[in-house]
Amino acid sequence: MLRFLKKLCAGKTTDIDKKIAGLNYPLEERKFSRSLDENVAVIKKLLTDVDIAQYKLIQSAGKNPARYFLIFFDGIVHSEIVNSNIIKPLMNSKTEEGSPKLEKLLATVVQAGESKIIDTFKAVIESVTHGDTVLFIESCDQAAVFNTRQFSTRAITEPDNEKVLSGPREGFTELLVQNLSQILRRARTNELKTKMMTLGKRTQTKICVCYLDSLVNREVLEELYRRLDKIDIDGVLDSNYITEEIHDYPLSPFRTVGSTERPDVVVGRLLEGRIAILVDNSPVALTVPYLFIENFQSNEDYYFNFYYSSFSRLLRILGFFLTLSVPGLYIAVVAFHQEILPLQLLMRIAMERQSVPLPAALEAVIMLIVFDILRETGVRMPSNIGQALSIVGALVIGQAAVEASLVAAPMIIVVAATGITSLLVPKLNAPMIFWRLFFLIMASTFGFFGLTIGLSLLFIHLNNLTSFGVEHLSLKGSFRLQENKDIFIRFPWPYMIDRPKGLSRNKVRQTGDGIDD
Amino acid sequence: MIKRLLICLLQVLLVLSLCGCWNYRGLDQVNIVVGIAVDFDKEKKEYKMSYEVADLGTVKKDQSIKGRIITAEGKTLFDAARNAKRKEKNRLFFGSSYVLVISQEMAREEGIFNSIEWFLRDGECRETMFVAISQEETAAKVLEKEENINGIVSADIHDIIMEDKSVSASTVHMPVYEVYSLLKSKANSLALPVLRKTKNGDREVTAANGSAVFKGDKLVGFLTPAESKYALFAWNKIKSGILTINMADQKIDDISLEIFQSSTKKNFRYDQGKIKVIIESSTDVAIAENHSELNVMDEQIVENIQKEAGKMIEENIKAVIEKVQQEYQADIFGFSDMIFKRDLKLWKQLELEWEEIFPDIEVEVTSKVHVVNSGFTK
Amino acid sequence: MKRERVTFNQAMFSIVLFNFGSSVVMGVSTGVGQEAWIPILAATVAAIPLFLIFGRIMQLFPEEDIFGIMNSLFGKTFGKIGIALLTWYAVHLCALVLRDFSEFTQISSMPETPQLPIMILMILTTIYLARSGMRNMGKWSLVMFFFVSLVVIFTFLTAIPQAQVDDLLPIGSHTRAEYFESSFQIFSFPYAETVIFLCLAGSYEKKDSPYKMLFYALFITLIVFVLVFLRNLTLLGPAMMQTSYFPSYVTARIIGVGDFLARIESLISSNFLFAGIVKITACLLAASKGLARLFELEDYRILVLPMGMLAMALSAFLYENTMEMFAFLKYYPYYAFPFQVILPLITWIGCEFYVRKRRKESKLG
Repeated sequence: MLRFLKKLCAGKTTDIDKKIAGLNYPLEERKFSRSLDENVAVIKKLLTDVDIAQYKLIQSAGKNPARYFLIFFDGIVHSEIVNSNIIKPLMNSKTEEGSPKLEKLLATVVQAGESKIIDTFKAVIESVTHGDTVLFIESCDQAAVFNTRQFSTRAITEPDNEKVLSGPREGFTELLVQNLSQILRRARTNELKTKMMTLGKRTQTKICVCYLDSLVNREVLEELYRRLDKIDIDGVLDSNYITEEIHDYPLSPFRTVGSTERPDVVVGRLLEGRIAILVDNSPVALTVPYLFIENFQSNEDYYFNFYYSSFSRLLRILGFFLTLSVPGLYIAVVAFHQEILPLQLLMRIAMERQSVPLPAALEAVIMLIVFDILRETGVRMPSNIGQALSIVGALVIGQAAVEASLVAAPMIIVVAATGITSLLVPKLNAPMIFWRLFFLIMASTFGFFGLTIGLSLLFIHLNNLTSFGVEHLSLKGSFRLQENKDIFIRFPWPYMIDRPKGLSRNKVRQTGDGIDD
Repeated sequence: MIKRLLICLLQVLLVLSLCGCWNYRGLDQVNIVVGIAVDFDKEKKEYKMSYEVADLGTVKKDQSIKGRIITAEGKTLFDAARNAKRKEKNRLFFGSSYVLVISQEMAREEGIFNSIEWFLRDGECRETMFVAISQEETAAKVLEKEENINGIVSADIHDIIMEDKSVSASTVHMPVYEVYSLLKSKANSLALPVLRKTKNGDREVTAANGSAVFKGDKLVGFLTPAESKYALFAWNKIKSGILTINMADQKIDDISLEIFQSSTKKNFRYDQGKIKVIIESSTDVAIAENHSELNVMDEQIVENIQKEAGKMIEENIKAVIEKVQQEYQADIFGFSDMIFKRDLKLWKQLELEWEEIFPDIEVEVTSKVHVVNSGFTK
Repeated sequence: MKRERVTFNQAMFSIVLFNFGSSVVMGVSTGVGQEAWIPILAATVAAIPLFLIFGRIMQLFPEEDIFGIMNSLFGKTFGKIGIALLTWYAVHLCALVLRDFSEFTQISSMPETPQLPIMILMILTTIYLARSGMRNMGKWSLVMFFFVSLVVIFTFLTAIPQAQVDDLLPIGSHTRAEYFESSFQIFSFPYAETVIFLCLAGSYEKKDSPYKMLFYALFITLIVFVLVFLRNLTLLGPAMMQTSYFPSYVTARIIGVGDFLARIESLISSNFLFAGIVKITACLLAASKGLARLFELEDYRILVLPMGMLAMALSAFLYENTMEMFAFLKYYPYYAFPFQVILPLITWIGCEFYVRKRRKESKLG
């Protein structure tokens, strides 16, 4: 490789080579020198073995040709723009005396909309990896960067996890600017602040903190910056990396940072005074603070009739309790408090249980794990195999096990009910698996007493959680209707006057000029 | 943090492993008792218990569940319940039992208080289980049934007695806790349903047959189903039932009236050292069966029917009360309790000589009947 | 450390639930059978002056708990004696309530389970809640209050068809001494036990007056007690109510709407548990705060675990059996009187003098 470099720089630059070799400290930190050759050599050294880097030496027309040096990465630049807007004008330009000024070049020769001037090698690396083109000129310790990016990205589609029946169907893609454009389209105001940061030592991932300036809770914002500054991470490949870094309680199974793939949801949350964090290369945006009740809210609630959405919200809350406690409840009833069941039901269940080998508690644990195995396989399977899987799951494990008297039929019903209700609140799936098992164990050792204690522990834990200083489960005990209008029941918009408390410093939702701090 | 979490986990695990699931009892390890019959063996001084349990092992899924009798003896009820385990793989589970049948003989001689006391004290039995008296020679007989008949006798008995007050009104329904309350009340008497075997077609089945009168916790006599109906009037417990009036003197065939609703008020008057109990009932009825082509549109006739029915109820209530007062001397209608509650001072005067006063208390019954409709036809 | 703030409603409902605590399980004192509403009312009236004193103390020193007040009023030695006494009372009460609940759980639903694991589970839960702080307890009370009162109202309504109203009669069948004893019992258990909340004072939001908080709590408690009493009596009858250890539980076993909505006693027992957890937690917090003050520690939270373990050990050794537990209830009012009434009374008098003196000084100065 060195030989290749040498050949490229042909004979006369050997002294520069020696000079560069003598430079010990990191080359990235250096500023440009006034010599074009030296700059080029440093860059080539930095990009050793980076074969997609393209170098282009250009000479302008005229008597006194100036030398220009272009660097860009193949594949992520728009070659049409590079050729016709940068290379061609440069070649055709006429230089009279010596080399022209950089500013003048930008102003008169190069036809590029977005350009800036840099003076470190670090900035060069940052720019070219983004698809920009960097232009060096002779005897100048600055370089120009032109935006020539061209990424191939996914089309904007509706996210699979957050499908809606009615309402906007756009979802985020992996491209940060595109995501920002979607947000901006929904909130066209200069109040929308978009602060860019770079995270990840090696991936240099861009993240963007968005908020509406007049609504945001300053304390939360400061806390967020404090936590983002503290992050020391190698790479950020998805927004979840950030979630775990800025989480209030990293070990709690419950999330205190919200996430969504939909721009309308992000804007909705911004309007409530929340802050969104967009991460480049991840279609999932984060929102903070995240309240527990948001697990049960869906953007569709606001696009449908409020009776319907209030009902489905209540259903989701019910589903949460059911999916957590149904297996435990069943065991508590069947193994401890049989007197609760009416006689006919009791005899039926007892009959089912006569020939089953395992005790009910163990049976429940096994069946729950089997259910989770089925679910996990189903998620990763291609859809055509998924069908076969559901048949195997339903028929073989369900029906055959019951017919062979390996598992009691009521147990299958219980597991099915648990599974279905868990789908009502997909956002809580992860913590629920553990709590459900915990409840089951408690119930099978102490019956209802154990179940009650388990529920109490869960409740205390949830109460302990905060999200950026805001209580995760906000129970102030206010009976003011206005503060409870978007919790269990969604009120129609004309009646929802206040924003959720504690999130925003601007309390009144509709008029927006009553700042109350 | 992780260390602390681990310690917490360890604690929970330790607690869990400490407990060997003490109270865990699988449903396959219990015999669900549906009905209990208590007999007393005088010679051996032992209780003979029969438990009707749901026989779950032999039936197939689509069949109805059969009952099966387990018998056991013991010096006490608890002893007997434990002795039953010696014969059976599974232990008895009392949480769903419906009926406690006590034999006539035992109720007469030993009293019922001892038996119900255990059922109340033991946390497993329900307070709503009701008590009945067997008119057969043993209590166990009531729970027996012929082979090859499906169904559970106790469950049938439960349904018969529970629905009785809203259909035929021939007996009372007394859960254990009420029995206890009544025995501890000033009246200290009560009535319990009576069961016996009868023929239904060619099958022998258990049926309700009036009620048994208790003074204290001892059986003193029986009321027939007909008498029980009027006793229910006096208790203000009647919900429905049929009144058949005989108007032979007006050359009209019998008319059946269905009771819709009835309420009875009890009161008493005390003057010149004499107590007079006043019972006022008012009943809404419908004409349900009319053999004599009576014109029910005629106000006069309806008036007659109302008067006649009222008179009949009055007489019958009076007869029942008198029978109980004089023959059994049991205050099952709670006169003493009524006086105690309404006039404490008077009760304190009377309390000591209540036994003598009670049989001679004069009872005045007035009854109003109101015909509200006549069914589908005129 | 940022001071945690408890809102008005949270504080009020924790007092209400505290008052329900074991009383809802044990049934309000049933010494006078069908007339128990008389002592309930009498005890409530008797509690008013006491609550006025509590309220006055809280108002004079809104930022301090009673331990701090004692410290600054009576000097180091006497203050510490007072603190030690109250701390002992809190620990003892904690142990008593814990024992009530483990007895109840054992008798009602798990006769074969030994009490120790039940106690361990309960105390661990309360330790967790206590360590999470006052505000968390407030939130807990808020939610559980709704749950508990919903169950009370539900059972009351479903009990109506089976109720026998004339069980309330006769009135006046007991002697004056019996009424007095019964009233005294209700007064000291649970009303006067609210003294525990003096130990937790200092973190309530200031905007509402403590009088309002205390009297709302008293009023709600009164209503629920009367409802519970009426339900139990009209359903069970006086004899059954007096003979059972846990009348509310037995009532729940009897209540039934149709065949299906029957047998709701497990609901009731979890209900009891929720209220009981508040009571134990409040006692535990008070005890830990007291001990922290005794040893002059900054953070009481580290003491919660050892205090909880101490209370559990104490409750395990308190009585030999259930009968003894209920027998002790007879003497409890006399034992508790100095802690519940005399100590706060002295503190209150001290407070008044202190405030007067300060006012004079500031006038002079």
